[in-house]
This record gives sequence, C-alpha cells and structure tokens, in this order.
Amino acid sequence: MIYRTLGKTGLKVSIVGFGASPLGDEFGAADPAEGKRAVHYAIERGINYFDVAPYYGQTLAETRLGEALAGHRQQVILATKAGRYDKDRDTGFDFSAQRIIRSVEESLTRLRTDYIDVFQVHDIEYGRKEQILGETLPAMLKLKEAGKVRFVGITGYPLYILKEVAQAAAVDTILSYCRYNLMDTSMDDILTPTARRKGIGLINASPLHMRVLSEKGAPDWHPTPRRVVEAGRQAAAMLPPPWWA
Amino acid sequence: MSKVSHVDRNIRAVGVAPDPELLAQVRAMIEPVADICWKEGRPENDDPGAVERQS
Repeated sequence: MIYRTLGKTGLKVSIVGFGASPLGDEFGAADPAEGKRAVHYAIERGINYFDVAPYYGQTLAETRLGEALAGHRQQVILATKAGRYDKDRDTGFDFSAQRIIRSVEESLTRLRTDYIDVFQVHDIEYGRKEQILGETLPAMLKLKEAGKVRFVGITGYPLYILKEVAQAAAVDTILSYCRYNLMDTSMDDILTPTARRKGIGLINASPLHMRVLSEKGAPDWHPTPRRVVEAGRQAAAMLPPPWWA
Repeated sequence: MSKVSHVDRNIRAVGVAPDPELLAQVRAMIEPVADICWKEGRPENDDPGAVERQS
C-alpha cells in the first residue's frame, strides 16, 4: 500500500480508502457478513482510511461499519459526516449547530467509538453558504476543541462552492466526488491550488463516477446525462481482464 | 466497497500505470462528454455550465 499525509492533519492515509456507502445498500443490497469480511480484508491489506455518513442507507452503513470495526478502531482513520440524513433533496438536510452536535453523538454510538478522526459537513451545496460558514462549521470546530472530532472537513459535488468555503474557513479536508476520474478532471484545476496553498487534505471520491465506469453500469438514480452513462459503458467495455475479472 | 473482491480489485490497481495506448483510446472516446457536470444542490451553488440532472 502507498500512504500520503492528508494535508496538514499529519494523518498518514492509504491512497485507496474504503468508501462505506455500499455497506448501506446504496448500490443494491449488500450481504452484511461479506461486508464485514471486506472491511477486515481491507485492514489486512493496509487500507486505513474509512469514510461513511449517517445518510448512507439512512444510518445502515454507519451501523454495519461500526460492527465491522469493533476491535479494530485503533488501526483505522475514521471519517464520517453530518448535515444530510434523508433521500429527499428538499427536506433531507439540517445544517443547524444543534443538529450537528446531536449528529456526532449518534454517529459515535453507531460507530462504537468515542472520537471521529475526520468530521465533515455533508454536501454543503444543499445549504446556504452563510449558514455553513456562520453556524455549521463553527459548531464543528467546537466539537474539535472538545476532542469529539480530530479534524473538520467539507464535502460536496460542485467545486466552486467548496473552494469558496475552504478559502473562508479553517477546514482540514475537502472531499468531492465524480470530479477527478476518466470522465471529469475538474477537481484538479479548481480545488488543488487552494488545497495546496492552505495545506488542506484533498480527497477524491467515486473514481468510477458512481459506477458509470464499471461493468455493471450506472444505477437508475445516477444524475449524469444519459450520453455520459453511454460513454462510460463503452469505456468500461474497452478495459480488458484482469481489471474487470 | 462491500465485497472482498471489490477491495482486492482496488488494491491490485494501486501503483499500476495504465497502458498508454489503451488510455489514449479511452480518453478519445470519452472526450465529447468529458468534464460535463450536473446540477446538484441549491441553484446558487451550482458550478458554471452545470446541466440538468439525467438530461
């Protein structure tokens, strides 16, 4: 495994992390026992960065990951999120300080731990920038001072709002998804300069474009235009075994 | 990831450089749809040029 330091956090993270949303059945029903074996196998093979959220499977992914990590907590760097909870894109968010503080306690219980390594605002583009900067992040920084979380980050899909918030606030990490892979490389142009200048750890999620670049193809709910799905299907078909074996 | 096989595939890819010829072919095929982003979140937070979801 190859490890890199995550910004100024000092955390030495494996360059491949364990994205735990599939444990919450986000990409079809997952076998819980096989999911647990996958977590243990990842640890054995040197993966030490685990990322999850209460939103994935509406708490199911956190619950399953917490079960799998029992007895292994000290071997991993554990990242979760707060602010997004439900599938409904109009009502599934709550970025208030009160909810963030309650959220960390709920996540700690489900993940069977007493601290979170990286605590992230989930999908900031669904919030008002003024609230994220004036209420959400200050609440998270208080949790950092209290030792509930070690580092604070932001996540989302649109890149410019992530850049604006990162420039204005003391965040340790930024995570974006589907923005640095074969289909889209914008993250490097838009976020890397800011991350480099401020020493922010930059995390690239969904390197297969949320399954567009997989042999199974995109799930029905995938938001990308259909012509992108088709191009991804053709690209995946060009890649030979053993990659897809 | 939710399967041992998924973890294994990803680990096997670490440090492996893609075949440059194949990569060039794939990039050429994808080029017409490269860097397309969709609308996500509040309208004021969309990236410039973001397209409608599932359009």
